[in-house]
Parts: sequence; C-alpha cells; structure tokens
Amino acid sequence: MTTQPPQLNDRDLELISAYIDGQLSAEERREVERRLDNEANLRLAYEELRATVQVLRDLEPVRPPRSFTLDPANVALQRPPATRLGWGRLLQVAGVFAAVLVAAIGTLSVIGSLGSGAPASAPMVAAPTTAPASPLELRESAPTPERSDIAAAPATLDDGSGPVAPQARATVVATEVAALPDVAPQPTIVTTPAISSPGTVELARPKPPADSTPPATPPDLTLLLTLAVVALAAGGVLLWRRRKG
Amino acid sequence: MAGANAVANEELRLVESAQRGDIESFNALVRLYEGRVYNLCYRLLGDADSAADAAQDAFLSAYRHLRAFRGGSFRSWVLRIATNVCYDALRARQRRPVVSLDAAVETTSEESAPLQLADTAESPDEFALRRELARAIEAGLAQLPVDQRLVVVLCDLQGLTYEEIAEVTGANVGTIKSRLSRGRARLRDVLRQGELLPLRFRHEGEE
Repeated sequence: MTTQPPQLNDRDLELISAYIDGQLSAEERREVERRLDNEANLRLAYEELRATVQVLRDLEPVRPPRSFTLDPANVALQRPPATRLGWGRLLQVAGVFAAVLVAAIGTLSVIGSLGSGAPASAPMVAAPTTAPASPLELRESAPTPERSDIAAAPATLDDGSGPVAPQARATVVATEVAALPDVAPQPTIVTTPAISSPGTVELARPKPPADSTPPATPPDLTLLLTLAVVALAAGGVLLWRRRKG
Repeated sequence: MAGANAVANEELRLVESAQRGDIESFNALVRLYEGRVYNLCYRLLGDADSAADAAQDAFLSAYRHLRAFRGGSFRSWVLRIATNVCYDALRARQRRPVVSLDAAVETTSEESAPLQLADTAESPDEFALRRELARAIEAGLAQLPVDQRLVVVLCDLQGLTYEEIAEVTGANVGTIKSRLSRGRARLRDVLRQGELLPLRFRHEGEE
C-alpha cells in the first residue's frame, strides 16, 4: 500500500526544501531540476515535501479571541517604567558618585594630614558645597520630567509607606555617625577634624542631617555619607517598587 | 509597489507617532499585526489561553521598548518580541510543567481553533480531511524542536521570506534553511504515518 519512503541526505533535503521556496541560485536550480528529471527517489521526495508544505500553507489561521490593543488608562501607568527605572538608576548613580566622593575626600584628607595639613582644607570646603547639592537637587527635581502622571509617581512614593523607610534609616544612620566621634571615632571621620579648621570641628558635632543650611561652613563627611545612603536607599526602593509593580 | 510603499510609509508614521507617546497610533499598529502575532504565539505554544497571554505581553513589551525600535521592519521587530515572549513561556513551562504541549493541543485544538466549512462547495469528506490534516499538523508541530517549529511557522504559515525570518530569529539564512528542511521533513513523516499526504489525492504538477 505505502511506497517505500525515499531517504535523502541532509544536503539534498535542504536543496529541495529551498527549491520549493525558490531560494536557490540559478545554477543550483538547474542542477536540482536536472536531477529531478533523472532520479526517481529525489523526485518522490520532492513531491512529498512539496505536498507537506502545501498542507502547511493551506492551514487556516486561527482567529484571536480578543483584540490586544492597549488601554490608554492602563498604559499611562505602564509607560513610566523606562522613566522610573531611569530614576532608580539616577539615584543609584548619584549614591555611588557621593560614595566615591566621600572616599576621595577621605583619601585626600589622609594625604593632607600626613603632609602639611593646612592646604587640604581647600577640597574639604569645595566638596561639601557641591556634593550635597547634587543628590538633593536630584530628589527634588526628580518629579519634573515629561508627564504629570510620571511626576506623581515619585511624589506619592515619598509620601507612601515605602519611601519613609530610607528617610528614617538615613536619619538613624546620620545620628549614629554623628555620635561616633565621641565614642569610637572611625578613621574617615577622625581625619576630618584633623585637617579642617577648629571652627568646623565644633560645627560638625551637633549637626542633624537636614540642617545643612545654616552657616556656609562645610557640613563634613557625615552629611555626605547620609546623602549617599539616602540616594542608594531611594534608588533601591524605586527599583524594588518597579519590579513589584 | 506604490501601494506597498504607501503602507510602509503609513506604518512608519504610526511608529513615529507612537514613539512620541500616542497610544492610538500604537493601537493602530496592534490592529495591523495582532492576527499574525497571535497566530505565531498559538502555533508556538499550542493553546489559545497561553497564546493570548503571550500576544498581550508581546504588545505591552513592544510599547514599553518602542524607543529601542530603530527602523527597519516593524513587523519583524514585533514578531521577534513575540517569539521571545513565547520562548520565555516555554522555558517557564519546562520548569513548572502544568500541561504538556501535546495535551494542550489535544484539549484545545477543537474548541479554540474551530474549523468551519470553508465554502458551500466543500463536501463533508473534504471538510473531514481538512480537519484531520489540521489536527495532524498541530500534533506534528508540537513534536518539533522549538527552533524548527518557529522557522516552519514563520515560513509556511506566515509566509515570511528567509531574510525576514533571519530578522525575527536572529539566525543566519543557512541555519534557517537547515531548520526548515528538517522541520518540514518531520511533518512530512507525521502526515505519511497518518496516510495524509495529499500526494495520493493529487495529480503530479497540480498546485
């Protein structure tokens, strides 16, 4: 009843498959056609494969059960991911930047204290004025980007339960760090008073993290550390919220 | 040719408008391609529910990543996204097998892709044969390795050229030729086993 199915090698199978699709070069096509005229096996294999392809092409498409158009109301919430992710990234970058800055200043301070001492105070004054500004500005200018609904996201985020955590955490860290010099001074913090003027040492001690405004004197490493932690935590929270949502 | 250009221009206009945030333009693109995308998902995943979920995910993902689209064929781009979504779904299914592809085909092929009498000229016998062929092909596709299945679906069911398939799959034309020929050969074997090769119902040279 059934004829013996022709066995083709892979090369011939590919040839006749591409021949069916008209995907052979003129030379290859002539060669295949010549062989089809002479080789019964190849001819049968070609007919079967062509019939199979025809069955596939005749297969009717299935109808989608519904339309997949996006609902503008939902998409308004969906759209921000790129922006929200950018936010998390921005804050993370800001945090890393601040951390690097702290490390750099610490290193400079150590070098400075090993050397003359006095000249090292210059970077200390310059750094705090610029460094705290960038993460702070980032946090505040954050909601501005392009759309009001995007802007609303970070804003509500800061009010919600999630964002409270980084703030609170930052404050705790800040107070702990501020208290440290009295009990067990850390190397980086010790170096700060060493190279700055006596006035700054007095100012640095009772400093709460938010009160960076008062005098123009540098807010020191504690504030930088706080800002770095806040930025990192905020970035983390934003990313976490994005993954969750 | 002019008509094809006009369609391409309109598509480009819609894409650019959607990239600027116009959701209606994006939805116009969805309407253009949802049939193709759903069919691709259906043939890759084998059941209607998974296919609908995958198609929806694909369009959502396309919308989210619309800015990453840098010209070329939007159709290929969106089919590529749909392919990736389906591959993810298949991997997830492998990790946590809920229902096998064969079972999915068996349970859903009849109710989800109902075959209707194509036209009044079709006899009941022809209808029965067509139905049997469709079932055999679905079962055969389900048995193929997914790379072969994808290429067969894109070429023979969706009518894409080898170059377009290369865009969608990221494979080179040589690989595509190879996968296609092996996939077709396996399906031929399935049809042969079911004595369904239309060869026996056709004359040589007939289309």
